Formats: sequence, C-alpha cells, structure tokens
Amino acid sequence: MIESKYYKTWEQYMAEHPEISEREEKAMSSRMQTYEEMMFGFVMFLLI
Amino acid sequence: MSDVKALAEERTQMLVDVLAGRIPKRVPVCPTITYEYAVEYTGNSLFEAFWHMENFEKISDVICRDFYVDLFPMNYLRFPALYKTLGARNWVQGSNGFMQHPEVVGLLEEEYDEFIESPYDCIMEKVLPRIYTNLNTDPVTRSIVLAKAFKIFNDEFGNIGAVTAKLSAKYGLANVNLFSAAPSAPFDFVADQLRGFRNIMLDIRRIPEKVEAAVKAAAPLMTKMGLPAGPTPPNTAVFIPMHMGPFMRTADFERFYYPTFKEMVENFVKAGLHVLLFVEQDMMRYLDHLNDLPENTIMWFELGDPKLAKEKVGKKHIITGFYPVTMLKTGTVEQCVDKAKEILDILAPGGRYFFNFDKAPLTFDTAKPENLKAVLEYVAQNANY
Repeated sequence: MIESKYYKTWEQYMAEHPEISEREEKAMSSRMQTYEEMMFGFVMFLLI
Repeated sequence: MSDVKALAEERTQMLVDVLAGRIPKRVPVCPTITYEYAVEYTGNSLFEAFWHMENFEKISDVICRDFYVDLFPMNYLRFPALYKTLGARNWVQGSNGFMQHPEVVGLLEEEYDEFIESPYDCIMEKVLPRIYTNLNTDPVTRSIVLAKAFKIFNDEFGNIGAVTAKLSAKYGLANVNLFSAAPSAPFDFVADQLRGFRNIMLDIRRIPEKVEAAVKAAAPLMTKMGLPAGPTPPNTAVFIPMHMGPFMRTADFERFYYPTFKEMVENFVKAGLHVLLFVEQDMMRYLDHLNDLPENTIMWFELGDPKLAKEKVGKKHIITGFYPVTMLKTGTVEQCVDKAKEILDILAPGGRYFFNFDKAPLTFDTAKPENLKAVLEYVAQNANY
C-alpha cells in the first residue's frame, strides 16, 4: 500500500468523497482508477 | 488454421515450455535488437527516426523480415519528444541522435528522511522537478507540461504495443511478453537517478542506515510498478535490469541489495508473473544468491562463465545470454557460428535455455548484419532437442 497525497486507491478516493452514490461508484470506479494507475506507472517510468 | 497462426502457436509453445522448465522442441531464438540498430540497418537517421516513431512499424517490419526471430525482437523507451517536453536532464539527445544518459542526482542527501517517510510524495515534490527542469515552474505551466508528457508517453507506447501485436501476427511470432514492465531492483532505483552512482557508494559508507531505509521505502513502489493493474496475462514476464551488484562488496550486496530485490521477485511470482533478470556485467560471485530466487526465474547473463552458471543455476532457472555480441562485429561468419555452437553445447542440454546475445547490438556498427543473420539462422535450424 502506498500512502501519498498524489496516489489514491479507490477505497481512499471514496473515503474522501462520501457524496458519490453507489450507482455513480459502480459506473465510474474502474475507469477512474485506471487513470490513477496509469499516472503512477508514468511517474515511475520517469525515474528508470 | 493458417500457416502463420500454426507457426505462432509452435513458437509460443516452445517458449511456454522453456518458461515452465520443460524441454522444448528446439532452443527458441529470442534476440533483442535495439531500435537504434534497426534504424541504421534500414538506412535511416537516428535523430529523425526517434522524433518520428510512426515509422516504428516500417522499420521493425524489415528486421522481422530479414532476421530469424521467434519473438518480436525490439522495443524502445527513450522518446526525445517526451524528454524534451519535460526539459529532462537524465535523457538528452546527442547530435548524432542517440539518447545519452548523463549522471543525475534527483535526491539530495538531506532529503533522505523525506523520501523514507513518503517516497512517492518526495518524488513528486522534489525529485521530478530537479531532474525534469520544465516541471520546476509555476503550477499551471507544470500541469500543462505534465499533460503533454503523459500524452506522448501513452501515444508512443500505444504505437509500439500495436506494432508489436501486428508484426507478431504477420510473421507468426510467439505470443509471449518478456517485457511487460521494467521496474528496477529497489537499491538500483535509489542509486540510479535518485542519489547517482558516485553518491550512493559514499552513502553506503557514511549513512548506511539511511540507505537501507530508503531502499526499503522504494520497494513497494517498484513492486507496484511491475504488477499488472488487472488480472495477470499468461506468458508474461517482468523485466528487471540489475545494475549495481558488480560494483558492490558482497557483504553490501547482501545487506542493501538482495533482501528487497528477492522479496520483489517473489511477489511477482506469487502474482503469476515470470521474472526476466538482466544480470549485467559479471555477477558470477552472486550465483548462489540468484539460485535462491523462485524456480524458473529467467536470467539473461551478460559476462561471466556460462559453464559455471549452467552448473549453479541452470538446473533450477532459465538461462539466456552469454553470447558475446562483440563477436558479431569482429568475427567472420564461420567464427560467429562456431561461437554459437560452443554456447549451445554448454547451455542447451536439459532445456531451461533460449538463445540471446549477452546484450543487444546497440548501433549498426556494433554487429555485421551477415554475422547476426548467420548466427540466428544456425540456432533456428540446428538447435533441436
């Protein structure tokens, strides 16, 4: 688990956004987290 | 089934057998050929070619057509459009077009504690703006630079992935990915672009506890980098180039390098991935450590004694490499083929081996194409079990 201001797991994101409904969460979770993971991969690539 | 599909299946099966520790029909021929070599082989200029990656397909197609390979042989990482956009200090295009890698220091000694406390935050706030000068600016400009860079990164790797799939299908190449990600060993990550080669050697002596803690802090980042975001695809390996071991005392390797590295390899294997290590330089004194890694770790050796490696790690792990690519520059066709026979005689018996050179031919002047072709053809036609 990575603790960072700049990377959030979906669970961390949801904890910070209680306004998101169950329906919204179902629709958006995989899409939103994919971009989070892509950005993490990109940042790490910049240092290898 | 078309001939090309059957060929792809046969080649995939050979590699799958090797990765599982079974004896395949024949020694798979899996050279890595740099894009630099391909660009110059096809009569193109490095400088222009790297700025026009839309030609990756055309250039790669010639390589797949002219050289025997069982697996798509090329990749490319160092896109000048990306590094220029970021104002990179770590990757700079030379006047001949070749991407140079100057020594950089992304993390200052007084920032160790910050990195240990929160490595990813420290990378975002301190390391990246220091190495990538165009990120060291106001927040709005920085966000624009990062957005452009992310777009370039995804465009370029998207293109390479699509070309790899297309040409693999066209030429009936194996459906195996040995380079799904390229995380560093945690110590190498701290050494390479955070502290730099010179500083890390001094840090080991002067502040060993900080180094040890920083390596431990980097380990989850490197592990995460190597793991797929979704389910693990079959026949997929994570590539880990091992840099610093040959320059370290064995006791330092055992304290600073090996524990987090081994744990990372074990985590990849638990996740269903294969692991391909590029065992850089001569690491014969670490063969016992390497042998202790999970079974069927792929070890691509650069220098050293192939007989000793076969004896010490070849019964448990998969070996490739050792063929001196310099021979392709200096030798005759006959000498190069004889060398291939010698390497095959040592490494092929019992399986757990596929053919590759000790390193990829870097530029066109490092390997005569007639030698490269002769060696690959020889292995493909003669290394049957």
